[in-house]
Amino acid sequence: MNTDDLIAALSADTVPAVPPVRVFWPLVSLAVALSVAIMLLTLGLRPDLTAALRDPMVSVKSILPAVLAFGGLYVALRLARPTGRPGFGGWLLWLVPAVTAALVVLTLAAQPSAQWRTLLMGETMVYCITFIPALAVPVLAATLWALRRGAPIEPARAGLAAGVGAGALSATIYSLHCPEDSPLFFAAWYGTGILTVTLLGGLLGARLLRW
Amino acid sequence: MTEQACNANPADLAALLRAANAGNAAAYAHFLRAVTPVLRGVVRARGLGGLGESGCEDVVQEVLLAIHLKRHTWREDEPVRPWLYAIARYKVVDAFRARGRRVDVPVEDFADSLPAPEGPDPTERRDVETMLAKLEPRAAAIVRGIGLDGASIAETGARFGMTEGAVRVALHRGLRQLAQLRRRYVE
Repeated sequence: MNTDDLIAALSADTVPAVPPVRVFWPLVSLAVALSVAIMLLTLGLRPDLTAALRDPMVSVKSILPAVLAFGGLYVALRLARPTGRPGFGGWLLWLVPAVTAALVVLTLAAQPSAQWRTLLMGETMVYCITFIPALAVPVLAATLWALRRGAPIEPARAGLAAGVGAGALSATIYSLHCPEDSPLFFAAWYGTGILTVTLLGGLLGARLLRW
Repeated sequence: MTEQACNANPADLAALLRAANAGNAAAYAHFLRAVTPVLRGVVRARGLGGLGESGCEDVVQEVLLAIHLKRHTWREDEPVRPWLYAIARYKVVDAFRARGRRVDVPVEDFADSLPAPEGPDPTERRDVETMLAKLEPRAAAIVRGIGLDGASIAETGARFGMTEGAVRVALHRGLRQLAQLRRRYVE
């Protein structure tokens, strides 16, 4: 079959292709619903959630990962197109860690150093670093599935962005259960959880997002 | 055809691709024919020494398949050429890597490279034939019939006792599988 014949066959194929964006957000929403359901059934919300969310120093634990999640998913979707650049989502991915670092410094300054270790380790660290990657699985799967319809020219990078998005979204969901409110705790352990999912996303992306 | 292709201006390409994505097969064929000489020029500039003319044409076909399967990642408000070059560059690097040689394809290459006209090359492409042979026989027959013999969707439907819709789906799946097989084959 020579090239002209191939072109004839290609141009006869008028089955419309679906751009990634059309499946991306619906799939992510489904995955979030699933992860929230799993969280509610296994861990449950923290009993004083409404009061906690009203305290800015506590709600920041949910807001920061939510912003990071949006940034990661946004960048992943942008990178799904061959000419896609991270855009403003790219600097959200730096803004959130920067704000978190500032909160950590403020906390260290405000608390006596004898307290630091207790604040850092908390009482539920094992739950935190187990559940954040676990609850991220549906979201990461949905994201990568949608991105496979795209054409990322840097599959690993798109995968990393998907991983940040999935990990941070999962951390946001987990934060509705999490009873620990110290920035030292959530910076360290949410960070660890999100980083794990990010690396997983990069590894999977490098394999699954090639085309 | 080639003359026209060399002179195809960006606005024309965008109009053609827009019509193509809206389902206009004639515009799509025109678009693919217009970009093929440019792609061929890029591939040959890089690979003529190592792969020969025939090997290069295999890579050109690989790029065309990729453009086809990813045509919806072009946004109507963006220029066509950067998008086209990004896809071509990715596939060319990939194709050469799969064939055991590394190449750098600087973006400038695309801007500078002259479109290469189709040489006197009546031979069938080896790669695409290998892949076609691995397809399910009816899917392969549909792709061949439409491509090689220029059969219409309706004629193909009559020949295989299928509805036109079923032929369209079979053709689409066949082309997708071709690309997937190629991926697996080169990895």
